[in-house]
Amino acid sequence: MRHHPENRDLELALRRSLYEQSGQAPAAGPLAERIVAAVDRPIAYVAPPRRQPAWRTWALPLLAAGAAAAVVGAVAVVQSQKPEAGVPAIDSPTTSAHASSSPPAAPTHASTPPTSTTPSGTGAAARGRGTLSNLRLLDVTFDGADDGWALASSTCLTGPGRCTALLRTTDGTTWTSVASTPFNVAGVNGCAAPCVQHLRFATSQIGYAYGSQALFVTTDGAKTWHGQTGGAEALETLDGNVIRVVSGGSGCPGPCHVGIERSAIGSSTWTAATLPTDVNVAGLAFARGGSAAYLLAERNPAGGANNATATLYASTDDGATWHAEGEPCPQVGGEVDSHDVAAASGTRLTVLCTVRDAGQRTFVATSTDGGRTATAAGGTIPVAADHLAGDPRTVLAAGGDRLAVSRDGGATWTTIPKVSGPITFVGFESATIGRVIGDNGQSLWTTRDGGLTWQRAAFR
Amino acid sequence: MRSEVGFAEFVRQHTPALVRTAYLLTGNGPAAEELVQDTLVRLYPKWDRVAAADAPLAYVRRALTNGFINHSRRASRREYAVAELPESIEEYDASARLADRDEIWAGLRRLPERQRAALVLRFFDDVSDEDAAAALGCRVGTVRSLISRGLAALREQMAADAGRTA
Repeated sequence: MRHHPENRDLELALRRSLYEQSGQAPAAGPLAERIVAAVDRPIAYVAPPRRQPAWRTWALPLLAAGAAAAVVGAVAVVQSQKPEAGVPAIDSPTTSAHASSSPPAAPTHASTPPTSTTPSGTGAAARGRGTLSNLRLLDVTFDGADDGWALASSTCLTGPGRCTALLRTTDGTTWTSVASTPFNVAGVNGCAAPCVQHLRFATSQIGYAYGSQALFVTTDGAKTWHGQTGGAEALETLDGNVIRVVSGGSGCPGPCHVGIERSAIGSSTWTAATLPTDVNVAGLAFARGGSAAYLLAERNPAGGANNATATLYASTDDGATWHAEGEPCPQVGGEVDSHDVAAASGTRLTVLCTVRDAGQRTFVATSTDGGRTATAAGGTIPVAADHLAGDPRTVLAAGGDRLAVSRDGGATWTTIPKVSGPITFVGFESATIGRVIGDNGQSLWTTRDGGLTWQRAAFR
Repeated sequence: MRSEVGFAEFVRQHTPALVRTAYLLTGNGPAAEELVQDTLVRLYPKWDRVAAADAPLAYVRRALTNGFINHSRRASRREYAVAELPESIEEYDASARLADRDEIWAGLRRLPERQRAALVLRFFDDVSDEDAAAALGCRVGTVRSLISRGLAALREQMAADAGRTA
């Protein structure tokens, strides 16, 4: 590696910085003992299987706006905070978030009222039964404005280590735990198989927990889960059907031999759809809106493989047939990489674009014809964006520790400093309701006005 | 049984170093602990293979780095974040800013995962390009490119910060 004189100074400073910062790392002794103990416990679930009720329903009463909302059974403490000064208040504290990184601009599925889940009891009782702590949200999904689910890990109620937690809210405020799940998540037991990373619910009863090597379906509101063949790199439900992106083989930087399968929600029968070519990728993004579906296949590993362009595959019939639209981002000002896609209703979509040779400027391009043509919005996104959500007009972009919103299709951007990172998820579930998981999974931010104001629910 | 003893000994001896690396990768204490625990627990069933490696610590560090990148990819389902860069860097005096290591740390945390991992492996763990390539699952040339781009992004982020505070 050739060294520039300026580089040597920077490298020296970087070495010093890394050395000093490494001193802030947690104490390793207790962790080592927990790890040694953990290998003696093959499974680390929160609680033994429960037959009924489906989930525990004790929760602290809500204490005005900003009070500690309870959560429980075996799980969760959520604190909804007051909006900051100068930010219009939202009527009630909310906690939630959605599933898809791409947001249908119109309501996507009927909001079926959940079965009996109204929290009751007292905070003391909740604590007596064991309140989960040190929660880390991994994914969220909403089948109604206030009806949501969260996949998480938490400190185990008994014994060392971390356990899988599946949380539900039916009022957008309090979260209760589903007693037992047949899968591991990141942070639990090394995410040993079956390992899932994501959660989607089509209705209050029918939902999917999935990872690249595992797929579970519930048709009774998470009372029981049934494993299905294969896994899913991505999965989205909409209008009574579900599409999953599958892969097979290895040797690619990302998924190899990517395929598409479709099913009616809750069904165990999947039908393969044909992509125009064999798809081997470094990464992929999947989005649905209306009857349209989009698969963005990224073939450009960071820092190399010039000219390995991305390809957008599009469907207009709920994933039954697909065609290739080429690289969606306009190739202007250098090689431009397409990194993410968000779909709205009809054939409108937004793509996250990065110019490689111009300081890696990021911007969005919008298309109104299903990706056949796209126009650069022009405004540089003021964050290191790698997550995208929104319809072509209201767009969220997040990366690292920061979130930015545009309300004019990407022409101008505003950062949202109150939303803190690391941000691991952004999503819109309607034209106005969006969710962000921040603080490394400890905060769930919700907007109900298209990104203008945000309210935080803190998971402790 | 032999592998269990080896595992426990290894964990007690090397967890401090692994946690430090994990902390620099994740920038977050709890996440670092999770990453180290996930990595070691995942390797435990095949610990004989790890113990037989020429350099077990390098083997585990490689798994740790892979775990960090793969988890980031799974969590976000997005690849390859890009650094925020300034519109112009002509006025930037790099040497004047190098003393502020908090600024470097802040910049490092904003880098894409693979760039950050490449810099940590090179400038903290002092691994070779070949070992970094193995840890990152890419070619040696790509490692060098990641390091070069990471340094450039750090420099430019610092320039941008300097511009904002000027």
